[in-house]
Amino acid sequence: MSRSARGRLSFGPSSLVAALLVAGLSAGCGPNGAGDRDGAADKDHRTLEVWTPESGSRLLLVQRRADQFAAAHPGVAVNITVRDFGSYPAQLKLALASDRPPDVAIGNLGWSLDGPLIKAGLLRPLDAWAARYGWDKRFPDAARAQMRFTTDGRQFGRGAIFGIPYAADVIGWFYNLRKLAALGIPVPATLAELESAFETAKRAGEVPIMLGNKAQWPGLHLFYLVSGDLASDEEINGIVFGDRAVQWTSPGFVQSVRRLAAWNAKGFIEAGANGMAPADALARFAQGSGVFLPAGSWNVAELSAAMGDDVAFFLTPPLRAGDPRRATGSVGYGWHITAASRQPDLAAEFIDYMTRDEFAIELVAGGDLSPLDLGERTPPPPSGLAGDVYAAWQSVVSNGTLLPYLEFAAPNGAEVLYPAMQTMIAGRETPEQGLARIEESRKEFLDSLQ
Amino acid sequence: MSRGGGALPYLYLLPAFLFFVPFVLVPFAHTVGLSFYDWDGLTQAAFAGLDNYREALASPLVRSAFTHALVLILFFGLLPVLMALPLAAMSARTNATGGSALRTLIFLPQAISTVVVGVSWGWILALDGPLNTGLRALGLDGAAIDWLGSFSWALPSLGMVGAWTLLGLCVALFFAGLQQIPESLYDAAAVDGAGRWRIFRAVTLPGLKGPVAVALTVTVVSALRAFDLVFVTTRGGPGTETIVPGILIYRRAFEDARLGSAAAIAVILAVVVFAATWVINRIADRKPS
Repeated sequence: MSRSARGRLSFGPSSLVAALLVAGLSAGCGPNGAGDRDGAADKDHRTLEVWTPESGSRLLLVQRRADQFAAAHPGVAVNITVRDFGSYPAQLKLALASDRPPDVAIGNLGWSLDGPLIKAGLLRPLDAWAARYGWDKRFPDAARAQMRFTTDGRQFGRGAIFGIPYAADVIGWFYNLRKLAALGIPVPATLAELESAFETAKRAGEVPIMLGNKAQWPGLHLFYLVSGDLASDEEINGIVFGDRAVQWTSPGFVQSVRRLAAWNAKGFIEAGANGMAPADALARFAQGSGVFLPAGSWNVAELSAAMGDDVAFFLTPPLRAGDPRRATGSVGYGWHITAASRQPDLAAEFIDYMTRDEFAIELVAGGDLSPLDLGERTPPPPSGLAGDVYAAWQSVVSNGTLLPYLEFAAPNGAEVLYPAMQTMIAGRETPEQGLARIEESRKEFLDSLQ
Repeated sequence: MSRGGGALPYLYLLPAFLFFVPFVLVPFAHTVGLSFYDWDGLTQAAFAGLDNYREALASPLVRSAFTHALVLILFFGLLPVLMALPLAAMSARTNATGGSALRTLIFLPQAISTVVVGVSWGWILALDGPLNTGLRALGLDGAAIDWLGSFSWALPSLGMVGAWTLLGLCVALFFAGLQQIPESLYDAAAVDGAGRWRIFRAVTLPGLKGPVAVALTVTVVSALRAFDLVFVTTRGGPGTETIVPGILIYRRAFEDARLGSAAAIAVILAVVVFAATWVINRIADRKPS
């Protein structure tokens, strides 16, 4: 097993072995290898080149499982290359267009990465392997659209299976249990109760909603917490999966923006939000500033470490008490097999190994979310907060109320969507004006795909 | 002057030219070429003619990015130059102790990485940062705002941070320039009965024409190509109130995969930079009438 963590140059003996293996691999491209999809490399010594943008506990888990895969497959080495999340799309594109592309790579949903790669013919449709390994049935219904793209890369959400997910995330509200108790507020069961909780907190001199919106995307995540209640499945899925009959100016989105602008006007949202980095907002909330924090499940580890039992999590309560809660989340980005890989069958075996129950169990045991329904095999979540988040995720999966991220609709997030959302929340632009701008930019993008 | 030498002058230019061509000219030509294409960086590029330029010039967002860059010129260029002139003149003409310490202090921001400057000012200008704490202590509660998060104040605040950074450079340039002005000119002016203001206008200012041109060139260019400070402090927000060409180019090239459009904006920016430096140097070269 040879694996250079982070993909940096390290000239240990294992790298030497890897280099020799690669050399052997290219030497093996003789007449025998030609035409044999899986036989370019010497059958006894193969190296699977794998790219990932993961970090922290997920990266450790990926590396551990990759080691186990190699150990279970004599003669197979897995070489993992890690690039930081921010520069990953640009670097992966270069790697895939180069002479030495990886066999397997993690992508990113929608148009930020997967779309352009598929359009350029750099990734393989996985349907044949999906049928063999049961990938088409392994994941919850809500997740299945996110795995698909048309082979021309022009339609997201339908067509062939391209990505196999292995982790999951959901956006909701973290809240300070101690503050809620001190304010005498019961845990809200409806959106109206949540709003009256904001009101009570505000009157008591607390910051109802802690938000760091300098990066501009957190405002959109706050929007998801409202649009989940006020916008319909048709509106949200239509936008995300490129249905031209549905537009951003649709009533559900207009009402959602109007509600957020009202919250802001009433002083529910942290006054310094626009100048505050998301990480600073998280730190302030952890230090006891703010009653509610709109944020994603990926913050669980940091918040439970900082706040212990004082923090809990819920999804936006429904309009009518008792209705199932709807929330934005995803089964995360998936594993892909590159078009250039000369050992796609081995790559598929690797992907299967990396997305099975055993991986999911370890993931959940570590406080993370898995796209798989583990049923009775679910390990007990390690702490109260992780338990809340896990239960929230399970509820949207089993109720079929998981909603896709609206930012998957087009790659215009940073330029149009986030700034427009921020401007509308501040009340400096009407919902109709701002949403029309967002729609115009989405339409331009959809036109560009023609 | 002898016109001899033949190829010799070109030979002297050669080493610099060898670096200039592959690292400046070729990439620039490549960018210009790219600006005529519609390209996502992966699939076949499609020739787009002047479409990218047409789109850029018609886009309200691109136009506001350039408008913001022009506003930043006032803060990054004009303000530091105007403030540095009297500061340099005073510290050069007096022998007061502490003059060099003052100059070092003023120059210090130049020695700090822009990212550190941006992060530090982000804290200083935050709603509960030291600036607002100070304002509240003075009873000016109404003046305490989220400077970098304010739709009206973010751009001027950013400008002030830039001015703070560049002031030291201007003072250093002007101070060096002042050393070149012969003492005899000051003596002559004093003998002729000129006052301080008169001496400043008749001796100091004309003597500093060169350094002022250099300072304006450097600061105006840094305003036009501002990226790092904006990226660290506001990322173009709130809304699009502090969006500048550099941020737009970065986003279109590396996030939206619209390389042709990014290249077109980059070329327009380069033309504006060339024009600005040309104008500054034309004015500086003008013979006094």
